[in-house]
Amino acid sequence: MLDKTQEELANAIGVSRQTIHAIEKNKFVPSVQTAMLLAKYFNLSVEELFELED
Amino acid sequence: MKLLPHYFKWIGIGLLFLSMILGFEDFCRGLYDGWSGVEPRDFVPIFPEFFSEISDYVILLGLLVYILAKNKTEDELAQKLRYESAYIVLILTVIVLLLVYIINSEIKMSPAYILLLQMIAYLIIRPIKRSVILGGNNEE
Repeated sequence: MLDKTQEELANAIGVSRQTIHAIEKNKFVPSVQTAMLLAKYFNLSVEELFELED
Repeated sequence: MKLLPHYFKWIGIGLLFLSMILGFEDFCRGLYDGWSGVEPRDFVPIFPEFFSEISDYVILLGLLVYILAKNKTEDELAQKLRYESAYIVLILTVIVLLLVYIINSEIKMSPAYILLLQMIAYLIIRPIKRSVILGGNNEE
């Protein structure tokens, strides 16, 4: 999204690289706090970054 | 969840090795008894008798310390894996105990033995769940 590595993103928001990988692969739904930290990191709203599944 | 610092994993592993050393003689005796079916007359104990009893407690303590130690990066995914693995172990315990009672109600299992099996099952299930979620990216 911003040409960042999983490692850089993980370090920036305080989770493991594996967690970022699991979120990307849609295998893990992050907590509200992590979702907000991710949204803040990318300067987006949570709704822009995540969407509800049908 | 409050957890022990990461270096406690090494303390847990150390305790497991200690319990293996303390219980080695008892283990060998059990193997021999099981093989021959008779009490060996010429079995000369090297360690005092209470070593094998201590070994049972040390292995439980070692596993508990290992399980309660943090991963290198302890985050919400790690927490989720802990909770889900513990939940599966709880369900498995109930199923196994029910099966044992159905098959033979005379079989009695000590609480320490059940706890030991639960902790071993937990240590098997957690990495399996981790590899299911993460695929190839599952190094801790």
